[in-house]
Amino acid sequence: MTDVVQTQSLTKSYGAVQALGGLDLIIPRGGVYGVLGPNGAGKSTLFRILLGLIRPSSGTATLLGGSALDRPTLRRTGSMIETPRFPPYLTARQVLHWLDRAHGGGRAADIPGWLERVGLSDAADRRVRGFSVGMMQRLGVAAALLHRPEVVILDEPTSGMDPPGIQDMRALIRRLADEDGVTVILASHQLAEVQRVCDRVAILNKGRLVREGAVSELTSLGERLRLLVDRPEAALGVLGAKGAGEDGAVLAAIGRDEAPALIRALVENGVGVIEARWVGTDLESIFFSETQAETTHAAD
Amino acid sequence: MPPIDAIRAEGYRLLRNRAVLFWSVLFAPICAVAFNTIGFLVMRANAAKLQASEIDLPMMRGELDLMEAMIRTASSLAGAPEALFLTVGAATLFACDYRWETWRLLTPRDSRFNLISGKIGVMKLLALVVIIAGILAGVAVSLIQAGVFSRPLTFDGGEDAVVRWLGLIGLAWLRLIQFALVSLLAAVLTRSLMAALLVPLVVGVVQAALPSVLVPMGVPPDSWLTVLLSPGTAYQMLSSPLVATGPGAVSLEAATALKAWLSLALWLTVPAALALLAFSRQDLSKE
Repeated sequence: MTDVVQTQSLTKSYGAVQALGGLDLIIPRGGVYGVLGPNGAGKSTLFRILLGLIRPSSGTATLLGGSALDRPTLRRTGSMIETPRFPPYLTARQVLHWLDRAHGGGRAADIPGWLERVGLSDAADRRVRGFSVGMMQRLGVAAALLHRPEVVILDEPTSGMDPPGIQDMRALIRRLADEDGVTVILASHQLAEVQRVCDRVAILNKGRLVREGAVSELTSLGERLRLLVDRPEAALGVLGAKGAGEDGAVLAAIGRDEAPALIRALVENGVGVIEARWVGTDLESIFFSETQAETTHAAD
Repeated sequence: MPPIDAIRAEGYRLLRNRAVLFWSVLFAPICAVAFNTIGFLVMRANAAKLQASEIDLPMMRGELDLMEAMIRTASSLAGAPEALFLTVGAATLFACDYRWETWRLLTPRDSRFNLISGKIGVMKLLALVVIIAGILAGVAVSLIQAGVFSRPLTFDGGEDAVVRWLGLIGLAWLRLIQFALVSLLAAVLTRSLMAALLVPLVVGVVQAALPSVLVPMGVPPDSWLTVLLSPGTAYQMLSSPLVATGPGAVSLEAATALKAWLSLALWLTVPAALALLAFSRQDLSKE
């Protein structure tokens, strides 16, 4: 089986509010998969359905080929939904011992190892009531990974973390996918972060899938050749409608196969080419174009 | 299959919640021992005055039958203080996963049936610990009383004393569990710690007042309606014959015993079943 998540026509309504509106989504096994969307897009609702916390209004959702209510399936899954909270009188170590007992299965988890991996070794015996949001997030990630799941669902894992913490978390997530073979499903509002760490992304808006694909493919879709030339006006003249100026440079909206001919034409027209490089669009641009287009259509 | 993992996890967590353990297990016995000791010392200090006033105080003289004292203690183990303080522990056990939003950590790890069953299992153990603490406090009070008033100790209790004592302990245990299961139902339906704490107390007060409310309406205290609606009455009916033997003995007819057992069984199963049903379909999008 190559897919870890499959949803078909998945809907969830809270009274008149529709959180998911017929979502069809397939998340393949392996790598880091980002689920993006503005607030209210349905990301957390999707995760809660996958984890059996809520039931869908209609449609189906499978996780590792099983139902969300199937206990053996869920025990192969780790999760952290929003900022985690814990019984305040327990220490970080005790929280993991408590969850280890709840998980059962007879195999004791490597609790000191996970505390070390999330950077909480020094605070292992401190009560969680004094933890910062970032420390809670780290403990939540350790709790999610405690039993070496095949899939881990992390909802905003870097929320409330300082920059070094975010960097550590990014490295941990990549290591989980690359070295431990865990499929990481990640929701985050930090789009630059997602672009760095994810292999594929799905963009949700108003409970529907509006874009899905490999990050490298999505960001190359709006790819343009950025030219630094000695005579920008002349270069724009050669490019015509395909050219646009940007901060003294010229952006050429052409295909890669057209590049040699363009550079030849520029040189023949007396334009000196100082630098030429391909620039893609970033995930943030795609995110806003997709989610705002939906909003505009809805307004129309 | 018993929910062993859920019981181990809940037990582990409860044992580390020292404040709750103190209030639900230790506070009432400590108070009982302290207040009784103070009372005994005050009485001894004023023994001469009391004798001059010709007030007869059997507790200050003669032999002290420890077994009889233990039976008396066992008959009061399911009283209002025990129920009240057990509810502190039960409400924490049942409602705090809503308060701390920790259901989301547990529901992917075990079935909802097992999670609630595990909590019920730990609550039953907690009720047993409350009872054991009460018994130990009762024994301590008797020993202190014997020491303060220089009364010789005996260990008799009369006919079938140990059986009666064990019967009273078993009934007290069931009564406390029944009381705490109302807390479970309140916790699941309202997701509120306050409700889990207060609803069983309010229900308990209403049930205690019910027989006296129904009598003027022509419903006798031992009627089916009264007994089924008031598990406290059922508990009293079943425990009274075990407390005293001989001339003060209370007999229990088979039909009355059946009513009482049915009432206890009803209140031991229905709240738990309703809570399980509600929790199995509960939306945990926001605990």
